[in-house]
Amino acid sequence: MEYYKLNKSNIDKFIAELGKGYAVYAPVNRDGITSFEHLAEGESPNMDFLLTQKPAKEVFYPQTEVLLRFDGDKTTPSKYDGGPIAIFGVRPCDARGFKIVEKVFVDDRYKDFYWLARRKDSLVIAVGCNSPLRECFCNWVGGGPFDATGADILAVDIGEEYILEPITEAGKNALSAISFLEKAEQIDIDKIEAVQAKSRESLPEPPELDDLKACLDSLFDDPFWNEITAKCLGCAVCTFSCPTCYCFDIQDETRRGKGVRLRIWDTCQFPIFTKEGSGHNPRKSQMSRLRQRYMHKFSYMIETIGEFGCVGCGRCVAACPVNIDVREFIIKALETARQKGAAS
Amino acid sequence: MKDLIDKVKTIFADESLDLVIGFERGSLPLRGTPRFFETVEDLDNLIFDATCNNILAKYLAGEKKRPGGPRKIGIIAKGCDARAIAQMVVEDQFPREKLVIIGIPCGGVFNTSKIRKALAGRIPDGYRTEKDVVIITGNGFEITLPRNEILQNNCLTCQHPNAPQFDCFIGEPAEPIGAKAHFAEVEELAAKTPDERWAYFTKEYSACIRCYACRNACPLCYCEECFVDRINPKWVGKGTDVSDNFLYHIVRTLHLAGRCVDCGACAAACPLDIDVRILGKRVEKEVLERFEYVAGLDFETPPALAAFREDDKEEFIM
Repeated sequence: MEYYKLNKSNIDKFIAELGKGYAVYAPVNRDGITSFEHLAEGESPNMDFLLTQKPAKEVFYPQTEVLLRFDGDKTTPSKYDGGPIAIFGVRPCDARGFKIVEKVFVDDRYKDFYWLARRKDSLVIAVGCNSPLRECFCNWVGGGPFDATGADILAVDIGEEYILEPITEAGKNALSAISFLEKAEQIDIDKIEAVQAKSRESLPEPPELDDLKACLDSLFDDPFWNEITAKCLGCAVCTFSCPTCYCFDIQDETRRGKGVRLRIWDTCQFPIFTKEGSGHNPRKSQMSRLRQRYMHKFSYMIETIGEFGCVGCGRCVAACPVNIDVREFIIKALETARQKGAAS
Repeated sequence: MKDLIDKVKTIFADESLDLVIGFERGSLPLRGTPRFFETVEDLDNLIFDATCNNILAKYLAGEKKRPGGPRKIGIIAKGCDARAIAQMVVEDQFPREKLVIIGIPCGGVFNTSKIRKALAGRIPDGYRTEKDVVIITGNGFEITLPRNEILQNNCLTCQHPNAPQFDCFIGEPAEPIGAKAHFAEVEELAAKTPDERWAYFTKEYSACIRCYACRNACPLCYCEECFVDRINPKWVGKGTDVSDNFLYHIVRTLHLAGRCVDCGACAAACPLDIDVRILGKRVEKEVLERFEYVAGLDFETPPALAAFREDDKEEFIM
């Protein structure tokens, strides 16, 4: 497909063009918090930072969402009516995250009405990462700083300009509809390779993870989990900042017979997540809860969706109050299981 | 660091400890991370510097519940750690005889968000401190930042940089940083109009995602079941409506009244840098003025709200 180029001084113009057909979301820094938000009139995307503190998944899957309103016996389903969504400036890890969460929300058996309402007809414009951070490990889990999975358009920053590569038909149509965009010349396209190579070199070589699932499955009852999880505080920073954690709770908020039914992000890190009506809790310890998070992402999701439930964005590493690093866990798990395997 | 390691190793052996709770180098630049040292050899990885911002007293609550009872523990204690420990002992949350408090002087700890913002995407390798500045170095850059601009806010007003109570003390006691008066933040807020304060709190607390990192990092939040986790009755909505967020933070603050030692763990843990300390600081001032009580200074004085004195000031009671 044909490449286009977008001079950085024209980003606002580009956003305005997109705004004709889409509700445009982009990274912003509002009151010191970085997240993807619906751009206000005249508001520019902020590309000064690599990763937002809050994951891009909340554009399609808000933390708190009204499912329906009720008044006595009368119920009214809530319906998203904000129009098709375009996200500009999402990083390849977050874009890949959309695909993974989508495998959970939409499959042959179930089609999540609320996810699809926002996600349907959306346009994802990813921007590759020229300078990955120390917490980045997308290359461990099947991604990369310029991976286009989940993107309709991939933008590469070559300095003064972004080179825009349409990845899907929707991306191609969106770009060709913006008349001021120029086609990229070969000399510009050639610059992409150098930028990408430099970025990839800056990421440390990943370990071999082909047998990670088998290793973890063999370790379920191993004491190594106690060591790995000892310093965990049991908060929800890792799960709420994760682009692929999708668990939710449903709660009614009622006042005098009227109220709302809410869908709210939930987290396997809280004891109440598995507490049963009888008071029994099958996951009593924080060890068992953090083990669940890691087993889910690196073993169970291989079974359910055929890939890791992790895109290597590193938000959980950077935001963890006690610096628990999922990469250290992975390496330790591989070592422990391989030693154990060799010994038996 | 060598001197610290050697002395803690000696304590480990002399006191027949099972465990030292301390810090080791974290996985990211400029981050220390909690570590449970179970052998003398492990202690080779022990560090203490401005990157060690976590409150280790937090881990005593888990240790207390250990099957077979708590082990004999040495704990590296900044002033705020030591106060949190003393408060836990006073509240009967950990047996004093199982603890060896290893006091260390604290010159304040880094706020990771302030550093991240100052670096604006540059990746650091290390840092050095010169007088009142911190020089952060990385690949091809060196950036000099005033120390007081990258420390945690609670360090700037800290009155107790050294453990008030300890079993051993390693190093020379530190002077308080004294960058701001003890209650400067409270007074700044009090000088605003009610509308301005409302706007400030609304802005701060509407950002809360209810991850409860503040609660879970707090050494004095040790309830078996927090009120927010109750389903029946449901005391507070589970969503992120700002009124529910307010309710959570206000109830937590009141539950910590006269117990909070302003260690700053709550603010440091917040992934969105919300000013979760300020309510507690306001209450700390109230408790000091009403009851002349400061939490965590010794192992005997009962908390202000758990004690009755005939001479308690009562002018606020109708």
